[in-house]
Amino acid sequence: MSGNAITRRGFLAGTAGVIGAAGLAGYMSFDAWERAYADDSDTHGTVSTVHSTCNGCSNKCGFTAYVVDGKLRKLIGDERHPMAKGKLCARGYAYAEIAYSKDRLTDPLKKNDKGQFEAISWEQALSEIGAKVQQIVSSDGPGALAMVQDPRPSGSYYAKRFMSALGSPNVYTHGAACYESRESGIKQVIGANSWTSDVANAQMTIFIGRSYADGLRPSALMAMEKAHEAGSHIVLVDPRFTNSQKFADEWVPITPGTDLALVLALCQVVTTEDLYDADYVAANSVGFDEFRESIAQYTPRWAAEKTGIDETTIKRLAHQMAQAAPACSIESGWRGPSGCQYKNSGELARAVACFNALLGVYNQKGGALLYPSVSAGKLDEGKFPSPPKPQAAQVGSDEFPLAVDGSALAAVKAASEGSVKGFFFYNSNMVGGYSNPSYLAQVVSGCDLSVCVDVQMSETAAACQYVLPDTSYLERSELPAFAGGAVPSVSMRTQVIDVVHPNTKPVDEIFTELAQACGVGQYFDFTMDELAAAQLASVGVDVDAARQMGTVYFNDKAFSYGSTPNWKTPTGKIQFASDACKKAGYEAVPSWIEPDVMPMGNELRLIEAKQPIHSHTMTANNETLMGITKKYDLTRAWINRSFAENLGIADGDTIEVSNEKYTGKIGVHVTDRIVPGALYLPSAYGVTVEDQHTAYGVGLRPADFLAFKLEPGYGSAMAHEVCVTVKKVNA
Amino acid sequence: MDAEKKALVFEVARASFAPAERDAWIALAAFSTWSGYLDACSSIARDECAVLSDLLASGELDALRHPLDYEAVRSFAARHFTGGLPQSVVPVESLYRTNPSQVPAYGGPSARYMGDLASSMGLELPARFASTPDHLAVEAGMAALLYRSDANLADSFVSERFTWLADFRLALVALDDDERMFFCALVDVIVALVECIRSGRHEAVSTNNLERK
Repeated sequence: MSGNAITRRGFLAGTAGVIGAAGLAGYMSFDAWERAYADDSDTHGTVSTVHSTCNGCSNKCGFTAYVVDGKLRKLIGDERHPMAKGKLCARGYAYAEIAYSKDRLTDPLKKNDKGQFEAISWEQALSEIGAKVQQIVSSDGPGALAMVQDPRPSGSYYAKRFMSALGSPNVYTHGAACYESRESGIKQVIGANSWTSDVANAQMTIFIGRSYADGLRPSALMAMEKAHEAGSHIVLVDPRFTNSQKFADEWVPITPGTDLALVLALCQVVTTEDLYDADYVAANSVGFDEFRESIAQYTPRWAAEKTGIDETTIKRLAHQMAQAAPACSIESGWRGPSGCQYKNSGELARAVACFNALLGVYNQKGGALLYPSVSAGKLDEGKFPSPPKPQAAQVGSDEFPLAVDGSALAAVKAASEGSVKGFFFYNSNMVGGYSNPSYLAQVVSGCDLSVCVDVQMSETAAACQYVLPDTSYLERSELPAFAGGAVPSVSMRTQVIDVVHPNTKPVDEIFTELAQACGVGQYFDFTMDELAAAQLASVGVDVDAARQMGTVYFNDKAFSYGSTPNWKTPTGKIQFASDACKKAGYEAVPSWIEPDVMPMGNELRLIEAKQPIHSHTMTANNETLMGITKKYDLTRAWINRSFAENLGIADGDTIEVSNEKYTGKIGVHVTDRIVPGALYLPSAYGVTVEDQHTAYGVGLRPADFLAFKLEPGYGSAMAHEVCVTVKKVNA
Repeated sequence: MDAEKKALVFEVARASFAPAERDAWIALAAFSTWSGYLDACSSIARDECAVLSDLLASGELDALRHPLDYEAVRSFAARHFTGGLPQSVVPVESLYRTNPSQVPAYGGPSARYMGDLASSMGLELPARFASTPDHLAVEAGMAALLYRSDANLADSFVSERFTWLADFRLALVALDDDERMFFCALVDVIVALVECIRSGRHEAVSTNNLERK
């Protein structure tokens, strides 16, 4: 019988048959149905609730989904979830539309001879990909394969396991375009990748280039609000006045790229004036003498010239922090100046970690907290056999030895040189903005094999030969998501609605079938449900209970103030001086490094940052969120008023932004809320794939102006090392 | 109109817009079967549907004279009846019929209606259409079944359901693809038929109203 036929239940009728009287009695016109049900769908039908997690950004906030007759009707942030604390942001609500989006990928795709995608069967896709993988492994070894995946519970596990099974260590995240330098720099100092500033209990917190109200995490913003109301002194160091200013006491405008100079000078003040915690430093650190000797040169006066912040302010901030210690910290940052933006990002991260160490704030109330975490224990090797550890070194580890997660962009460099021949992407839009998109697309499309797994056609998918359609996050359950915190927890993504498109598959099935097609299926002879149950059982949690509760806390592992962290550095101490950094070409102690470019004449440094309604490119195709963008004209570039007046540019004009890589036109917001030498563009826009009907052609994409170059030692994108000129259109 | 002939028109539409199945398509495109389809179109046009008659006379349906072979149908569907591409024209009603304030998306009211309708009539939808019960293949299949069961209900269903095809046809005809006219012609037949049925039902209502007065 045709798979397309409508049948009477229990009878092989097909459309050649007829409907019996009972069936015909069930007929209702659309008008009658609409009157009866359509406007009453919240109260009509079977209501079920499911705890799951959002996918609108990296926070993965927990929510309760209310489903009526299989259709998602409502989301409410889970009180129990550590990131959500009962709230979702605009992205959390709106991103759910992705499940029913017109732009969903519905079938496996392959490019034909004309470079156009055509739907193919899963059998064909898997068979051809498997054959090409085996061919590459046979001719160039497994090290010629690379994977970039955006960290999600199942994706992280399955992507890494798949590559390990093939023998490749080349698994990367988006870190090189986000947090890589920060985590890597911090790790060199304290042995952990980051800390959480105890903002809510602090007397003072300095944020450098991070805005909790823009890169939104509900719980973090709540902490900031609580601190503000309690009288904590909150300082935002940023070239731009951000949405977080509502909860802050002070905006310290800074010349972009010079944050390192500010922090070095803060360190200089507290060391030369003996304001640091000498006992703490003596007990917990190595390399302080070398650090103190070096830091002496970075006077507030010197830093004032670099940063544009007056000397008095720098000194005052240092004094205030010293007075507030240990109930203070410089916040760790995220994708900001220490994350991936400058040639000195990694050094900035190191300097910040050293400053906090000088004040002895680690694990102190109101300070910088190294939260405990919990992860799955050892599993039954018979059921879940571990693939052998890949023998080869990760691509990029020679040139960028400090990168804790490796650099996906190093793999791109290797692909451009011919040593990486096959690229896999899971939910990663690398081409859309990790660095220059045109260059990245050219490299990816030139590989012998390129495969992208995603829910909609991203720039990365468009550059690949094969695209495999993922289910949306609402249509699949995933492995447990363990999270560190004041009380470590595990949260569950659980399937909310039925799969909308039957030819899409969840990530665990896709990688399992890819592994089978590549001849390494023996490492995937289990289901996701079996694995989830085993992972949770290894930490004493029942999987059904976890799915029912959404989030489970490990109260016995709770954080307590005042403990001395276990410094997981090579020396077992806080490292003011790092041998690894010296080996990578840096000074052993954090030292000033000039930015890679500096604006000259009428040039501006192009800076970018998030808006609270978008998460880079992944939410740009959402009609509801883009509606907000359009209503408030949020694609506009910001430039400083005095600079604009010199060029005859007024607020609301259209300007042409240009450099050697790209030229584009955009509306302009002329404001005093940005420093004179910078031009700001929001990071979510400028999507270039027509397949995304809502996002296509809206706004400018900052990465288009960026050259492909990487931060020495760390391998990050140096996303703000770019200058542009502007002129008024039709002037 | 002859209900069986209308059933055949919708049956062919069902087969053409559903994922192509080799044996089923080869059987449908065989001379005798396809002739039956063309005869049905001519008969309906001649007897009761001037709009369809005009279309046939104008030559605008000439693309239907020779059905595409299986590979052409499969290939067209692979390029256009799959989601997420600039050249996608997925034949699902929810993507074409929305009010101006709504974003076209899967699972709209038409999908919920078709799901409820199939359920209340004791019909089981093919698994591949479980979440898109307002796919053209399903709606056409439902129309064919109804014509073979109760022509009045079928006319009611058809006159309500297929008005979205005008927008779908606009999307089809905009494709950069030589084979599009075959699918446009299949849609044109249904659109003409629906127009005649709606017109006939309107006349019947008007007559009844006059008689009451």
